[in-house]
Amino acid sequence: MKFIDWFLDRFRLKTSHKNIFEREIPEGITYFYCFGGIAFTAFVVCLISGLFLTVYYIPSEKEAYNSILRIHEEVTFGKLTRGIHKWSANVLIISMIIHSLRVFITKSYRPPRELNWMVGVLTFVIVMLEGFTGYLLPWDQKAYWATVVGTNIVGSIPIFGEEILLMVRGGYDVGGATLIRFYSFHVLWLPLMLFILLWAHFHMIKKLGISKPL
Amino acid sequence: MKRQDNKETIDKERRILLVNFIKFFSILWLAILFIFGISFFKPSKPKRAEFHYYEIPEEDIPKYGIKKLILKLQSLEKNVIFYLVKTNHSIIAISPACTHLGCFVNFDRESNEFICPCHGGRYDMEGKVISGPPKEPLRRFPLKIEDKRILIGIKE
Amino acid sequence: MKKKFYPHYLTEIIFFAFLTFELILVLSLLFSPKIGREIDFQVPYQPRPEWYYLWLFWLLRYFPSDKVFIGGILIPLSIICFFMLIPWIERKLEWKLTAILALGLLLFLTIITIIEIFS
Repeated sequence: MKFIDWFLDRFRLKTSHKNIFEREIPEGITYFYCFGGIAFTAFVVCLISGLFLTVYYIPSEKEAYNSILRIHEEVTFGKLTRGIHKWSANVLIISMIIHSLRVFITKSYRPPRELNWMVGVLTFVIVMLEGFTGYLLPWDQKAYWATVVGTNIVGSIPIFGEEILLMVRGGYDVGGATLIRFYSFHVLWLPLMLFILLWAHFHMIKKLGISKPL
Repeated sequence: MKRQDNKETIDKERRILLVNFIKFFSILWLAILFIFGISFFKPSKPKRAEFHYYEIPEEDIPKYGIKKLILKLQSLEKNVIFYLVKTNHSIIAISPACTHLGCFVNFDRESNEFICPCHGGRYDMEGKVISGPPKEPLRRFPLKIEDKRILIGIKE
Repeated sequence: MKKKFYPHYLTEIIFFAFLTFELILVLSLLFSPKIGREIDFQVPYQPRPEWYYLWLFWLLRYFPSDKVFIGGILIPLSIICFFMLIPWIERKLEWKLTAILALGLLLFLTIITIIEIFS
């Protein structure tokens, strides 16, 4: 305990963020207000398990399926890590839905928090895209055909459809180029966007405070 | 006093000019980044090549009816799958890719129909749509007959 | 006494964070992921998306190939726009109507998802 006190004092955490730690919480907050925090926890768990998985996963047409097999069979705790990655993604989406439902019912999206609400919706969209890009990575039957269907939807856009389809797939068919493209988006682009959006989300919560319950 | 005023207005004008300069270049660079992004994501050489013809071995050709064939191509490093439909006086090669969203259709022997497992599109033996979401018939591969050998055209 | 973020709220949040992690751990121990079959064009296969895309999967059944664009792109985009603009929509339509619209939409999507899961 003494060490923690020393650390907190020397790190100047309490003094520099005094207004965060000492800010008052409005009365009447129920356990319904926890789902934002639960979603964030699920996100962090997903991120960490994903970091571990990237060590063994190989995003190539020939190796992807085998590397998943290897993660399951040879890697210690490999199957568990993949399970955690998958389940935390599910928990993330469910808790995000409940969180946005809570925000909607308590009317917390009202000004001055309307921008935060929009950031939240955008975060949800990007998490959905994470789900879509992550679905292809195991490179099995389910993944392949779901991606064929999903990208064909994009290709149905009039006039620009074919060009956009080429950009999404990296070729006329779903293949190795698509896999590495989706991998790049799944582990780099979209998480980066999520970081920025979550930072904005928390920044606004910090500055605007938790809305007063009705 | 007057001189300083003059200097201040010059300073102000200079700053306005600089701000306009920055605005212009930010927009320009954003546009360039956008165009760069699009051209970067687009694959450089989209494969839209000509038909190459491959022979279908004679023992694979059904006398009458329908047969699923797999053509192994070394140049493409993949297999091409198609249905060969032979009737009394015609022979066609049908691609199994559903025209709705690209799932591969299966041939149902009982009803003599191609059925798409994704959204339930149904086609008859010649690939015409019977029911379901697809609008266009199943695509066909061009066939060529050269002194009794049957060749199938595949885009490479 | 007024409640403060630290220590009242923070402890509760961290407690729930641990609870969430335990839940995820238990779920992944009980239901470990399965490995799908290798890609094989010769085997008939019925693809299904993850549960959170099932509503879209259901929706596409009703859009013929020349209108896939409407069901696959326009409708999801307008749903996103609707949810994003809720703070402004509510000012126009009043709370009651907005709540009926938004919760009705959510209920509809949930019902479709449940139907698709069990079909």
